[in-house]
Amino acid sequence: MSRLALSLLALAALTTSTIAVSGCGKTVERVDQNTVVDLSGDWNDVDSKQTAEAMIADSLKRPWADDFRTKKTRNPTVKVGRVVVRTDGDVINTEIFTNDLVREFINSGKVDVVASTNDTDQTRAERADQDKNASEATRKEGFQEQGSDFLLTGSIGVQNDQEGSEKVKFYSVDLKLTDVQSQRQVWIGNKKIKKIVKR
Amino acid sequence: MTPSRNLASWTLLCLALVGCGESRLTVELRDQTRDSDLAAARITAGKLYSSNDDRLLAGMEQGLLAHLQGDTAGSDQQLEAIAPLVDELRGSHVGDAVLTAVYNDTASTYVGKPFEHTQVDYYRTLNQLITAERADGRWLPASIVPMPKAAMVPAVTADPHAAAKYYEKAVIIARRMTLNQLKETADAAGGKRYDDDPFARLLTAIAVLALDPAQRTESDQQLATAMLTRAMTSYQSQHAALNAGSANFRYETAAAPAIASTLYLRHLHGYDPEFFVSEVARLGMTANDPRLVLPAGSGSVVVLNHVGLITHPQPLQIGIAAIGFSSPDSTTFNWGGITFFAKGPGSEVARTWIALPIPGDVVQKCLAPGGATIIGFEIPVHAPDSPWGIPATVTAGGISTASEVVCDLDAYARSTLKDDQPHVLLKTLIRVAAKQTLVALGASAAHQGNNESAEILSFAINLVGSAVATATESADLRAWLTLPDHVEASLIDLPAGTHSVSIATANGPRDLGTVQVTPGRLTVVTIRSFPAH
Repeated sequence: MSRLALSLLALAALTTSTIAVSGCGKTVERVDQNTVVDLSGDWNDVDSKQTAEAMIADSLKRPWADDFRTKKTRNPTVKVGRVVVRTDGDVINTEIFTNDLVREFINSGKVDVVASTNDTDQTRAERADQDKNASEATRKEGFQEQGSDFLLTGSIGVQNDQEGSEKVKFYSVDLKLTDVQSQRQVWIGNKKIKKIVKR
Repeated sequence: MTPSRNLASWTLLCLALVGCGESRLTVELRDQTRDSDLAAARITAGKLYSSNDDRLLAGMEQGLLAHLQGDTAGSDQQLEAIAPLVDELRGSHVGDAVLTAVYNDTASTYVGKPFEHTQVDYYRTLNQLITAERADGRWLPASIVPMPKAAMVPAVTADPHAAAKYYEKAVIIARRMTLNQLKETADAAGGKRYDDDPFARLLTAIAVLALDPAQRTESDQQLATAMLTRAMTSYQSQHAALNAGSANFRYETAAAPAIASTLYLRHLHGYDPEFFVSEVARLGMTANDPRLVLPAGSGSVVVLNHVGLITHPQPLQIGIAAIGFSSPDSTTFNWGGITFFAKGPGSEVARTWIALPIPGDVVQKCLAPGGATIIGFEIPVHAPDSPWGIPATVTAGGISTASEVVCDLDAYARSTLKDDQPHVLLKTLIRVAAKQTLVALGASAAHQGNNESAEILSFAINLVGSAVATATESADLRAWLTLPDHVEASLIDLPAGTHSVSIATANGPRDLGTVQVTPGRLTVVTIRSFPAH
C-alpha cells in the first residue's frame, strides 16, 4: 500500500508541475503626460514630441528663416505636408507627429504656419457652406488664403531586429524643407532613435 | 490460467482497442456545408458543440455558417460575442491544465488555434465589407455559396451613409485583427510556423482601399502601406518556413502573390513616390509596367474565392496488449504474448495486428503484474494531403483572369498540428505511463496474497484497470471544421460603371452578380466554392 500512496503522490506532483499560473485582474493608473512609458518599444507620444522638438529647433538654427526674413521683412510661412512611414509593418500615427511639428514651429514665434491639406479641405468646405448660409457681414471670402513659402515633408524609416528575447527597434526620421517657388531644399534634418526591448 | 480465461481476456483486449474514430456529427457538419445545406449544418453544429467548453467553436461555426447564408448581421452577432473570448482564452487555465494532465486533452475548454483566432476577425471584416457594398449597391451578389439549399442574400435598400459606417467598421476590425491579434500571435509563436498572417494583412489593406478615396485619412493610407509592406515580407518568410524540410503537406501560396505586389506598388506610387521607385527596382519590375498604374477613371474588383473544406484532425490509435503468467515453479515455462495495434491516418505501416510470443514471466514482471494489460492512447493527426485542381478563372466586364492562392488555411492547420505534436505526444505518454503505473501497482499489491483468489483479483485489476485507463485516453479532435481549405484571389481593373462578374471553377461557371466600379476604389466580391477534390 505504501507503494500505491507513493505513486499517487508522484502523480499529484506530475500534475501540479504542468499547471501554469494565470494572471490576476487588471489595474489602470493615470500618469502625467510627460511620464515616459515604454511598453513595447514601439513609436510613442514621447518619441513624437522629443523628435519634433529636436528637429524643429535644429531647423530654426539654420540660416533659411533669417535669410527669408531679411529679404521679405516678414516671417516665412511653412506648410507641414506628408510624413510617410517606411516600415515593415509598424503603424505610426503620423498625424500626432505632424501636429507636434506644427506646434513647435508656432511656439518658436519665428515662423507662420498654414493649415495642412487635410485641414484646408475642411475650411474650404466651411467657406463654401458660408457662401450659401452665412450673413453678408460674417461671410468669409475666397482667394484670401495665405500661400506657403516652404513645404515641410519627410519620412520615418523603421527597422526591427530580433535575436532571441532581445529586440532592437530603430527609427530614422528625415525631414526636409523645400522652397515652394524655387524647389530649392533649404534644410534637411535627421534624427535617429534606437530602442532595445528585452523580454 | 484456464484457456477460457485466456480467450476472454484476448476478446476484451480486442474490443478495448477498437475506438470510435471520427464523430458522426463531424462528418455530417462537413457534408452539409459542402452541399450548401446550411440550415441543417447550423443544427448539426448546435448538437456538436453543446458543451460550455466548446463555446468558442460554437460561435466560430455558427458565425461562419450564418455568413455563408448571407446573414451578415447574424454572423456578426455570433463572431462579436466570441471575439473577447479569443483574448480571454489565450491565457493559461489552471483547471484545464489539471484535467488534461490527469484525464485527457479533451477535458479542457477549447482555446482555438492562432490561425483560427485570425479568422474570427477576418469574417467580421468581410461581413462589414459585404454589408457596406450592399448598402451602396457596389456589389449585388446572386449568393455567396452555391444554390440551391443556401439562403438567398436579402435585398438591402441603398443607404450611402450607412455604407460609410460599415466601411469604417471594416477597417477598425481589420486593424484589431492585424495590430492586436497578429501581434499576440507573433508574441506567443515561440518558433511555431504560423507566426503571422500575410493574407489578413492584405485584407486589411483591401478594406482601406475599398474606402472612398476622398474619405481615406492619412492614418488609413499609412495603415494600408504598413499592411501591404508587411504582407510582402510575410508571404516570403512563410513560403520559406512552410515549404522547408520534409513536411508532408503542400503550401500552395506563392512567395509573392501578384495581387499583393500589384496593390503594394500601386499604393506606394500615390503614397510615397520616392520609395516606389526603389521598390520597383528591388522587385525586378519597371516603373512603366502597366500593372502598376490604375488607368484613369478605372477602379478594380477583387474576387475572393474561399475554396473547399479545411482538413480536420482524426485519431491515430496506438495500442499494446500483453498477456502472460509466470510459472509457479522454476521447472515449467509459460508462453505469453504481446501485440501492437495502430489505427487511423498514418497507421498504414501497421494496419493489422502484430502478435509476438514472449515468455509469460517477462510479461508479468515487466508489463502486467496481474497477467494481462491493455496500454493504448490516441493522438490527433491529419489525413494525407492531396492536390487541388487549378485555381478558378474570374471574368468581369468581359475581362478574364486566373485566380491565385493567397491564403492556405489547410497548410496552417497541418503545420500547427505538426508543431504541437511533440508536446501533445509527450504529455500523452507521461499521462498514459502514470495511469498504467497506478494500475500495475494496484495489481501488484493485490497479488501479495499469493493464493488463487488474490491471483484472480490481481488479474481483474490489471485488465479492467488498464482497459479503463486506455478508454479514457481520447485525442482532442476539436477544430473549426467549416473553414475553407484555401482562399484564391483575382484582381481585375475595369472602367467606372456597372459590370457583371462570373467565375469558372472545376464544377462549372457561376454568376457572382453585378458590381458598380468606382474610380480609384476596390470592390470586394466574396464567395465560397466546393470543387470536387
